[in-house]
Parts: sequence; C-alpha cells; structure tokens
Amino acid sequence: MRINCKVVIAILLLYITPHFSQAQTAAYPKVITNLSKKDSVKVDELSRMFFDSVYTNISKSRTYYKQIFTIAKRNKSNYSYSKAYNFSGIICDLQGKFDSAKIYYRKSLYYSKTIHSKTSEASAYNNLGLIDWNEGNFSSALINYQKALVIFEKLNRQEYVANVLSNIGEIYRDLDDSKNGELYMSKSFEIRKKINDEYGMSVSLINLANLYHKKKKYKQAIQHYESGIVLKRKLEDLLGIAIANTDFSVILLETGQVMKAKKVLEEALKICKENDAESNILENAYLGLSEVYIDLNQLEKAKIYNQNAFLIIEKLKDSKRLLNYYNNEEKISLLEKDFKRAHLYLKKQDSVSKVIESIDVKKAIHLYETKYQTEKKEKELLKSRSLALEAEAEIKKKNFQFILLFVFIFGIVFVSYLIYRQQKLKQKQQEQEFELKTAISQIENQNKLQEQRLNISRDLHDNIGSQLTFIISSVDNVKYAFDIDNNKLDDKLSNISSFAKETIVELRDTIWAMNSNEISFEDLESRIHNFIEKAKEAKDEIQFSFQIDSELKDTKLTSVEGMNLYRTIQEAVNNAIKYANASRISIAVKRIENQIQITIHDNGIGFDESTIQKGNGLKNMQKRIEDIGGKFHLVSSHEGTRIVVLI
Amino acid sequence: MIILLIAIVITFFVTITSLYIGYSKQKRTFKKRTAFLENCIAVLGKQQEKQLHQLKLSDVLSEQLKESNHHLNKIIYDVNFQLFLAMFNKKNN
Repeated sequence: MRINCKVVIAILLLYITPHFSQAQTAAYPKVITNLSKKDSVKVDELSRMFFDSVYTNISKSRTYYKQIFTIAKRNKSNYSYSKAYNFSGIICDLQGKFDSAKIYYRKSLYYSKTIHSKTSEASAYNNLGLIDWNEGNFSSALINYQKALVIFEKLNRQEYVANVLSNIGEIYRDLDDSKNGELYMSKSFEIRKKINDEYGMSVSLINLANLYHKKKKYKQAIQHYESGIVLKRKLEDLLGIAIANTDFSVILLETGQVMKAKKVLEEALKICKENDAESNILENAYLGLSEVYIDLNQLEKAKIYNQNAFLIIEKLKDSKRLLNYYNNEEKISLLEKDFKRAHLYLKKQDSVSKVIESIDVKKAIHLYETKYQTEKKEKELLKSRSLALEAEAEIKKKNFQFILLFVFIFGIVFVSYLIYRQQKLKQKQQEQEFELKTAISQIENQNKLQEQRLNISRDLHDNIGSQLTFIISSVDNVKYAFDIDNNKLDDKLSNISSFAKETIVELRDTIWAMNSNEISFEDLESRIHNFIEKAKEAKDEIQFSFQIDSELKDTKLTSVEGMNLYRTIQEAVNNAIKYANASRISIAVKRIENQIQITIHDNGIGFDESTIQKGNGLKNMQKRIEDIGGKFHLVSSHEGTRIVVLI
Repeated sequence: MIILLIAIVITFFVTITSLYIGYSKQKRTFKKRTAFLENCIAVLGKQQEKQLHQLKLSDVLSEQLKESNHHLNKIIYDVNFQLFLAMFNKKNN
C-alpha cells in the first residue's frame, strides 16, 4: 500500500485549523480574548498567512507564529497563546518532531481551556490524536479523538465531527479492524454528504477505497477510487489526484487493468512534476510505471522508471519501496533472461525482507499490544458508559416517579378541594334558601294577620256606616213626624243629623283611601273638587281655585300620604271658610326641585300667630304632614293666611 | 409509565372539568331559585306595606270614630236633657 500518511495528516490539519481560527474571534468577545480590536484583527490575519505558507514555506510561516507569540506576550492574551502554540505544534508535526508537537498541542489545549473555547479545545485533542496516530500509539489516539468528537458533537460542528470520524476510521483500518473502520468512514462520508462538503467527501471516498482494497473488495474499491478522483478533479485538487491515482494504480495492476493503470500513473507523474510534489508520491508513481512497463514487456522504459524510483528511495531510505525496486529489477532480469542478476536481486529482496519482517514483527507485536490495550480501554469505556447510562436511566426513572407522584398528589388535593368547595357552596345555598323561605313564611303569616285585622275593621266600619245612616234617618223621621216647637231640641236633633253625616263622609273618605293601593294627584284633585263643590253650596260667594302642574298629575302617593294630604287641605279650606271670612281660596300644587309644594292660600282676615294658641285643627295638620315626612309652614297676616306643605 | 401518567392526567382533567361544570351549574340553579324567592319576598313586602297603610288609616279612623262617638253621646245627652226639660214643663203646666 503506497499511501502517504503524512500528507493526509497535513490535509486534515489544514482542513480543521483555519476554520477554528475564524470561528474563534467571532465567538469570543474582547474581554475573553484580552485583545484590542487592532491586535485581534492582526492575529487573525497572521493566522491566515500562516496557513497560506505552512505547507509551502515553513520558515516564512514560522515568522508569522512568532509574531502571534509577541502579541500574546504583550497583551497576556490566552487566546493568542492558544493559537501560537497550535501553530508551533503544526510546524513540529510537519517536521516530524512529534514529541515537540505533542508538547505544543498540550499547551494549546491548556490555553484553550482557560478561555473556555470548546472548539479550540476539541481541535487540540484532534491534533494530539494525529500525533499519537503518527507515533503508532493508537489507543491514546482513539481516546483523544473520542474527546474531540464529544465536544464537536455537543457544539453541533458537523464538518469537524466528520473529520474526527474519518480519522478514527483510519485508525481502525490501521488496526485491521475493517468493520469499525468502514463504519466510522461511512458515517463521516454521510455527514460530509449531508453538509455538501465535496472536499471531505473526496477524502472519505479515497479512504473507503483504500479500506476495501485492503479487504480485497476490488469492485467496491475501484468504484470508490473513481468517484473520489472525479470529485477531486471537480475541486482541482491536483496533489490529491496524484496521491489517489498512485493508490488506484495498485489495484488496477492487481486486477490486470494495465493500460488503465498506465494512464492514471502517467497523469500522477505529470502532476508531481508540474507541481513539485513530495518525493514519496513521485517515488510511488515511478515504481508503478515501472511495473506497468514490465507487464507491457517494455523493459527499457521499465528500467528507466525503476532507476528514477531508486534515486528517491536511496534519498528517503525507504526499505519497503526498496523491496519494490528489487522486485521490479528481478522481474526485468528474468524477462531479459539474465538469471544471475535476477538471483542477485532475489537475494537482496530476501535480506531486505528479513529486515522488514523483523521490523514488521516488532510492529505487529506493538500493534497487537495496542489492540489489546485499545480493546481493554474500550471495554472499560463501554462499561463506564453503560454504568453512566444505567445511573442516568435510574435518575430518569426516579424523576419520572417523582413527577407521577407529584401529579397524582396535586390532582387528588385539587379534586378534594373542588369537592369540598362544592359541598360548602351547597351547604351555604341551603342555609340561604332556608333563611329566605323562613322570611317568606314570616311575611306571609304577618300578612295573614294584618288581613284578618283589616277584615275585622272593614266589618266594623261597614257596621258603623249603617248605624250612622240609621241615626240620620231616625232623627230626620222624628223631626218630620213630630212637630217640634222646641227650638233647642230642634237644633240638637239637626246637630246630630249633620254630625252623623260628617262622620259618614269621613268614613267614606277613609274607606276610599284604604281601598286605593296608590293615590295620584289626579285622584286627590277630583276628591278635593267634590269637597269644594259642597263647600260652595254653603258659601257660594267664595271663589275657589285649584291648580296642579300637569307633570304631577300622574305622581303616585301611598294611601297614607294621599289621605293625610287630603285631610290637611280639607282642614285648611274649612278653616278659611269658617274663620277667615275669605272671599277667595286657592290651592296650588307645584314641583320645586325634588320636592312637591302644596300651597293653600286665602285672602281672609288672618290671625296673629303669637297671640292665638294653636287649636286641634292646626296641630292635626302639622302632625299629619310630619307623619308622612313632610314640612308644614303657616304664615298668617291681616291680608290672609298661607299654608305651605313640602313633601 | 408515560401511558400511566397520561391516563392519570386525563382522569384528573375529566374529573376536574366535570366538577367545575357541576359547580357552575349548581351556582346557576341556586341563583334562579333565589331570584324567584326574592321576587316572592318583594311581592309579599309590597302587600305588607299596603296592608300596613290600610291598618294605619283604619287606626286613625277608629280614633276619629271614638271622638265622634264621644261627641254624639254628648249631643244625645243634651237632646235627652231637653226632652226631659220639655216633659217636666208640660207636666207642671
């Protein structure tokens, strides 16, 4: 397998770190980065320049990260330190100084943690994983990758998650764990496809192709190589095409597709020459072309390409490629039928194989040891994870039970409260209803009693009325039947008759009031008119006038109010007729604001209020008005008397 | 468990809703009943007020009739006195 691991690492470093540097300043405010805006911009600019030059001109890139160090020292900025150490690590990594690179990445990790930059922290873990991988320390590499993966997944940085998954897949491939390798690489490819990362997709396709090649699944390997190379062509990734072509050529030669292998190797060689590619890619291309021409039996060309490869192999001191070179030379010698030379190269192959085998055995032991440690750690990790998951599930279960209990208790309490409230309301309503019913029955009883009293009094009044009528009739009969010459007796009998008549009138008036539920001023007016008409019969020289505001005609009074007002007016008019010697009596009913004013005025002789003691008539009038909540005023002079009632 | 929780929640929801409906229905029914009883009380109150007025008038009339009775008795006494006097004079003559 002629895959250049270092190139892949470089590509991955290049792929992750610039993204980190751009995201960093956007996510962290000035107070955390501890940089002025000018310095912050400068650090980002230096970072960009570093990545532009690190794979082409290391010495130039070194000046950029040194400038970042100067800024970090000046500003005591952990953010700048984190970047500077990360760049130092990358340079050491590219120079093969893995120990130094590891130290710098660890420092970068430390500063990333101080500024709580999760992206930077995960990036440092990823870089440490790469170093461990390079050193063949796969278990440690896997742990670092797992840490990076957890952080990137939490941050939902899908592009970085895909990178880490790809790296983990490659470690499993190196550990000959094709199943896990394929799983992680496929996951990485799916994520890259989802986020439309074409470069990442091409890397994943080539990685998967290498894996299938290792598993001898040629058909799938060829499909993946072809798809990967198509994508790389689209992206114009020339170096990637060259690497992929050299790898692809191996499987083509193994499957006997010599011409196709020749074509892809020639393209790889052309790219390497035009782009001054790394020696190992060129070496692979030369060795591949040599094999192609051996298969085509063009031995001169095969020799030239094999010699070109040898020059690089000597320079790189690459034992495995040396074995390829000797193998090619042996094949050429056999085809030229130079068996002695072929035997020589066979011997050389044997000695190199022994050296490689001893190295391979050591590596295999180390590999199995690593595998064992990795599996052990993975088992421990899985065990702790399962324990954590169990604990989490237990907590979830308890939480759920607590919620269930809380909901149940709350529900029970709430339902109990509602039932209690309903019962209390029912009780309260029953009490209120009972009170109302009691009140109704009490009122009904009272009304019945009052009704009985009223019935008795009505009977009594009717009886009295008929008795009075009988008295009047008897007196009139006596007067008519007997010729009474005694004047005094005659007067007394007339007095009885007139008094009985007056009493009957009073009785009728009261019964009228009693039978009327409400009395309006209109009713009162007609009643007073009747009374005045009778008064006119006695004193026809007196002029009566009765005025009432039209708006008051429909005003309703209670029977007591109506009766008391009627009696007061009647008394006032009687007084005016009997004692005042008046020629004009006027009654006026008006509304004044919210009150009703009733004025009874005569133009009689009047009386002196201070000298004349109030008689029963005046006292009764005042009492009746006060009984209905009104005010009684009397003003008398020689020009007449004025009685004002306000209700 | 989730199903149990949902079942409990639904049961409580239904119970609480039915209790609420019952509560408000009870309140409405009671309001109607009290309104009817209050109306009865108002009608009876008016009737009572009317009766009170009538009784008051009746009492006043009774007082007046008492006075009238007293006055009438006096007049009748005078008439009797005059009759006796006339009869006495007639006997003497």
